[in-house]
Amino acid sequence: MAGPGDTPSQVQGSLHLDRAEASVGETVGVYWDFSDSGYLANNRDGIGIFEIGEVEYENHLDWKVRGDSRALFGQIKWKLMPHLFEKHVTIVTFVPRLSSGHASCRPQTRQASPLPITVSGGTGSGVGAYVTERLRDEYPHVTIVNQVVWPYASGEVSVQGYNAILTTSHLQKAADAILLFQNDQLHQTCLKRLGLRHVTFTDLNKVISHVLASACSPLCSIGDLCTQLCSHGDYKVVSVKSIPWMPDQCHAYSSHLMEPEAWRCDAWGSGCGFNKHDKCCTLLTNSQGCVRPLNQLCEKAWTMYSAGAYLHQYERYGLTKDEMIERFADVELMIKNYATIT
Amino acid sequence: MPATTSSGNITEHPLGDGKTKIQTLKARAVLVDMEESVVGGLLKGPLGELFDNRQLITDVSGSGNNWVVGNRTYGSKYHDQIVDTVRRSAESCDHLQSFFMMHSMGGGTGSGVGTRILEILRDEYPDVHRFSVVVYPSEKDDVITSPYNCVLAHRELTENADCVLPIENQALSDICGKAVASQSKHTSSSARQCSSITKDKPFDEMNNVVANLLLALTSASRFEGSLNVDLNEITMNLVPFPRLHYLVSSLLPLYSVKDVALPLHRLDQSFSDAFSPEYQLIKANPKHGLYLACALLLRGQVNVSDVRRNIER
Repeated sequence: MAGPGDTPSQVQGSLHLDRAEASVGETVGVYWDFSDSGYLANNRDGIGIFEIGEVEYENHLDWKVRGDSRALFGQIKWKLMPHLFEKHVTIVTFVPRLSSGHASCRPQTRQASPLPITVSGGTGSGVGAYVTERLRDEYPHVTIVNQVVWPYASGEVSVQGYNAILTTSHLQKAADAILLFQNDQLHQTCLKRLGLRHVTFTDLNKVISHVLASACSPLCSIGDLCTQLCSHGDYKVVSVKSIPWMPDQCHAYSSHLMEPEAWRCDAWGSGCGFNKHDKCCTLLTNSQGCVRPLNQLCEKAWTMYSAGAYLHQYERYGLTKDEMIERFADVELMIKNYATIT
Repeated sequence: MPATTSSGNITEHPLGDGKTKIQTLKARAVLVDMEESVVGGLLKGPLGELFDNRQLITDVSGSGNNWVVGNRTYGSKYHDQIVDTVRRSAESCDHLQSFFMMHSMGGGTGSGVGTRILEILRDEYPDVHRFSVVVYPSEKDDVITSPYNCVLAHRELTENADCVLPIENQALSDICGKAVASQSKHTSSSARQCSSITKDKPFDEMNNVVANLLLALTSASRFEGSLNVDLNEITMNLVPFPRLHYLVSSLLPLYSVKDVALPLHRLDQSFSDAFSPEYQLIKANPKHGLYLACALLLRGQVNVSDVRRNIER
C-alpha cells in the first residue's frame, strides 16, 4: 500500500496529494502523471476516493467530479461533499488502481439501462417520472438514461401537452440523459424507409428497439455514451438517428455504402454486423434537433393553460396552478438554452 | 371469474371453453321504477335471469310525470333502500370504477328519482365516476310536462354527473329507419322480417343502438388492445371544464356488414361520416358551433397508419 507522495512500484510515474487529511467541505488536490510509463489506460482504470478494507471498492465521488479515468496525467481538485462523507476524512493510504492485473479487485461499475417511458399518457409519464426520481434518490451515483417517446403532433390524447411538460420538467432534474424518440419520425421511418403499408404500434416499437440495441455497442455502454454527450446539466436531451433502414426484402440485395458524416464526432466502431445489416451506424446527438418538437408541444399546452382547460382535473388530484407554471418555466428554460446555442 | 350468484354469495366460476351459456351470472345493476309493469315484464322476458330480486326497487303508483314527486317524495321515501341496494352491488366489485345511470328526462321517475340517485352516489362515492346516459324527449313527445322535467333534471345533471351522454328518440328512430332501408337493399326477404320486428317492438331496435354505444365505450376495459382507452380517460380528455360535460355521440357502422374486411375507402368514409349529423344520437349539428374536444374510439382491425392518415385529413 502506498502513501501520499509515494510512487507505486508496478508502474513508473508519480502521484501526489496535497493533504493527507480533509474535512467535509474542504478540497483535496490530486496530481498524477503516468505518461512515461508506457501503460495503456482503459475503462476500468479508476481515479477516486475508495473505501479500503472491503472486497468491493466503491468510488465515493460522483462521476461528474471524478474526472476522466483514462487520462494518464492530470490534476484535479475534489470537494468533499457532506452527503457522501463523515465529518472528517483521513486519507491514510493511496493506491493507484490500474487494471493491469496488480489490483486485487475491480471497482464496481453501476449503470442503469435506459428507462423507457411515454410522455403523452398518465401512467407512462407520471409513474415513469416518479420511478426515475426515486431511483435518483436511492442511487445517486448511477447513470440514469430515460428513453422518452414524444407523441404525434396531431394529437393522441387531449392533455398530452400537460403530461409532457410535467414529465420533461421532472426528468430534466432527475435523469442524466433523455433519449428522445418522436412518434411522427418513427411513423415516417416505417412508412417510407421500411415500406410498410399498415403501421402498427409493434412496428414503431421495433424501430425503437433496433435503434437502442445498435447504440449499445460492445465497446462502450449507452450510459457512458450519454454521460459524455450530456456533460452539462442544462443540456440533457439526446436525439437519435440510425441508418440503414430498409425493408426486409432488400437485405439480400444490398451491400451498403456508408455516407460520410458531415460533422466530426467521436466514433465507436464494432467489427461485427448487426440485425441483418453488414454495416450499421447510429448517431446520438445532443443538438438543437429537439427544439422543434418540444416547442410545438409547449405552445399548445400553454394555449390550453391560458384558457384554463382541463386544469380542474389536475387540481382534483393535488397539482396546483403554481406548480404547473413552475413546470412550464422549467421546460421553456430548457428550450431557450438549446435554442441559443451558437 | 368471480360473480354474484342468485343467492348473493360470491363464487368462482370456471371459464370453460367460453361457449356455454351463462346461467348463474347476475348483472351488477339496480333497477328502480315507481310502477311495476315494466320491471315485471323485464323479469318475465329473456333477460329475466340476469337480475336478482334484491336489486329491484319498485312502487305501485308511479310518479305521474312529475319531477318533484319523483325527486322529493319518492327520493326521500326510498333513500335508505337505494343506499343499501347500491352498496350491496358495489361491495361485490373488486375495483369499482364507475356508475352508469340510464334514465329518461321527460318522465317523472326517470328524471326525478334518477337525479336523486345521482346525488346519493355523489355523496356516498365521491371518487367514483358517474356516467349518465339519458334520453331526452324529441319534438314530438307524448308527455306534456316533459320540458319542465327536463330543465329541472338538467340542473342536477350539471351539478352531480361527471359525464353525460344525451340521446334523442327522434335520432334513434331515424337511425333505425336508415338501417332497415339499407338492409332492404341487400336482401328483400329480410326486409319484410325487419319491418315486422320494427312494428312489434319498436323500442328494442332503438335501445339496441344505445346498447352498442355503451359496449363500444366499455370495450377497452373488457378486451386487450394496442392503445386502450379507459372510461376515466374519456372523462379526462373530453371534459375541459367541470360543468361542460355533455358529449355528442355518434356510432358507425349501424348495421352488420357482411364483408368483415372493410375496404380502405369505406374506412375513410366512416371517419368522415362520424362527424356528420346523420349518425349522431341526438339531433344537433355541432359543425355550427365550436368543438372543444373530440375523441375517436375504434374497435377492430384498424391500424395506426389509417388513423393517422384520417386525422391529418
